[in-house]
Amino acid sequence: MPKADDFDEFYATTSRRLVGQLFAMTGDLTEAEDAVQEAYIRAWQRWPRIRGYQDREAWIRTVAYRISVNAWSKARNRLTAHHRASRHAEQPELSPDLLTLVSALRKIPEPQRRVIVLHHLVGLSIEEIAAETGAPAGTVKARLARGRKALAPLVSDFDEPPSPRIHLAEQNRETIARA
Amino acid sequence: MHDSLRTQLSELAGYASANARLDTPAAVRRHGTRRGWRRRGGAALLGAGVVAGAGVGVGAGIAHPGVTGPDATRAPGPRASSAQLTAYQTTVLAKAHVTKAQVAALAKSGLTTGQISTLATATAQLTQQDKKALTTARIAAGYLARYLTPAERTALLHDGLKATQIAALAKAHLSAAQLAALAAG
Repeated sequence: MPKADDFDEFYATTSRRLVGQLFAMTGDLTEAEDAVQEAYIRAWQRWPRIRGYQDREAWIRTVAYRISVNAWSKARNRLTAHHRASRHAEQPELSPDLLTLVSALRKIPEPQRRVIVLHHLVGLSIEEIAAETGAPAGTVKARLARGRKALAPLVSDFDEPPSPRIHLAEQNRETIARA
Repeated sequence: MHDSLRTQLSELAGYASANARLDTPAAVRRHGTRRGWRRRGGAALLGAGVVAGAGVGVGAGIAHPGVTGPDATRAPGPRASSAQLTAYQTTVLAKAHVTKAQVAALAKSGLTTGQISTLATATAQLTQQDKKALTTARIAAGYLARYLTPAERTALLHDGLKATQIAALAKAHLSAAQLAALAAG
């Protein structure tokens, strides 16, 4: 009999975080919930093996992602309307900024979106992303670059905080305008 | 809009984490366990169906050696958990003209599957030396005498199994349940 305590603790500490990551990858909260939950069910069925893994969270994330991609392709049209209608009534709405981000993420190809999330949200290095996605490091870099480029016009600045020079220039403009 | 993408993504993920509706760990485990049962149950039902189907041919196969179903010779099939012989076992035994009485006598003597295999291996080795003249009596009296109980020897001698028949018995790999059922029947 697999160890339930281990699993429960793992589930309690990681499940919500993984839903967040999947949501960023899919743009659909219900789908992310379903995929993550299904991944945990599968993990429990293989728990004696999986509990020994160094990065169990990566296993769940990968499985959940695959589930969501498959589910997405199969049932997207059928379920999207229903999900949106039922969820929006119960959950707090996203802020306009986050809605913009979700909309922007949905516009870029799904492999790029995955890489963007793994790098910018999960904090994985190129090599770690390559290992998790099974893509060569060069491909990961290219996807990351393309994804950033595609997102650039749609969302605000990425990694770098606004430069002090720009700040000064803006302040100068404001000062001039006031004057 | 001066937040970095990392910050924005973190906010997005934070929203999802805060609003996610997930089952309890116990519910997830229950779900996984139930699904495992269902799968195993389905496989068992399928296996039982195959065995039951094969069981129909057992009588005919043993009683009329050489007469087997169309699929009987394809593959060993699933290991029988019940006492009924599979189509593969029936075919193998029938081809070697092993009668039900012979198998029953062996089973009654307490010969195990492992012993039958050992016997077959030894028989095969001896067959190299003297194929035609080899009889179970000789095996029992000689090479394997020390491994067999008197009851087992008697059963082998009484039924006069040939080397090919012993090989077929080993190939059929009858389970303990099957041997017990044959002994009882």
